[in-house]
Amino acid sequence: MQPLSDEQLLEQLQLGSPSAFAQLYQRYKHRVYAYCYRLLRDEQRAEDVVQETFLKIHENLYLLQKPEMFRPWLFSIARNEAYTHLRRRRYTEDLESQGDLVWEEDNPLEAVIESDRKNIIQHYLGLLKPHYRELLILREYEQLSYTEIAQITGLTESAVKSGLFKARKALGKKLEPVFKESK
Amino acid sequence: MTCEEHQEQISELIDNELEEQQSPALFSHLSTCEECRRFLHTTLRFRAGLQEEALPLAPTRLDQKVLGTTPAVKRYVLDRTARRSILWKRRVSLPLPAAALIMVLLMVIVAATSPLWYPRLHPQAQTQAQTVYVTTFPAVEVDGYYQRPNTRIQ
Repeated sequence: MQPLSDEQLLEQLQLGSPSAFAQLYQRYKHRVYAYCYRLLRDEQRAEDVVQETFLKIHENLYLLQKPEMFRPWLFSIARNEAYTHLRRRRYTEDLESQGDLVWEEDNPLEAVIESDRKNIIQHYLGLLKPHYRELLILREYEQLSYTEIAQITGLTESAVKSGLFKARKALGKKLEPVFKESK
Repeated sequence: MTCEEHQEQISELIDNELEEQQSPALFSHLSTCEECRRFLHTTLRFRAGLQEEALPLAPTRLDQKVLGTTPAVKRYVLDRTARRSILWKRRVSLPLPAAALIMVLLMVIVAATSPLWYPRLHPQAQTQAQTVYVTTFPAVEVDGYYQRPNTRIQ
């Protein structure tokens, strides 16, 4: 028996089926958790955000006018919750005032010397500012298009394109010597 | 076009977002520019490194937190009437002083425009009783006014 599509599950959920919600949750929980964990770099906070996200989905399902928009909508809610947590941690994200700064720390290379080299890519990804890290997460892990990323983040497609390029350029400068050594 | 601009195109290319007509010029440039080839190579290795990472899995305790605490699923009907009804029933939370101010303003507006109060507020608009002497028809008194049929008293 083929599993039900998202649209079918949403239809059942709107008719009051509790098992439909459980199925949607099981389908997306790992991906939403992975997205939150990679963005927040904290297991406990990621759990909290996932819980809040699915509760909001449950309460506000009537706001979803097009079932085919469920996935971007789900991630946009998770994103908003995650950024609420980030703001509580006093991470400020003001791209205009901080110009082209991509890194959270001044000396990311020195910070990574002590880290486990197997996780060097993850370490550098974690050192990116949340704005850039999020773009890479949505593109590289979730395989979302620029249009979908723009819908989730509220950015223009041009800003998504530019942000991804800046993040890759900055990472390239730091990772190139590492990749050369590991050849 | 500068290398920076070409590398922006490389970023779009690996995301399958580059316009088809731009590809030939980009590939032509890549065949001659080592710096841009290095950028492409590093970006693809970075991508491969990310994809080697195991997916962080949601812990099982999260299931109880999410499924155990959500209330019974409400029934939503997607037609416009029901949606309007749901919106109408939603409570709007308003601070008490703001609610009181709105009530007072509404009362003032109603009072200012109500015909019951209008004459008191606008004395000049009060109608004055006029005595109309009718020679042909008998005068008929209606509520203090003398009125002929089909006659409007001003």
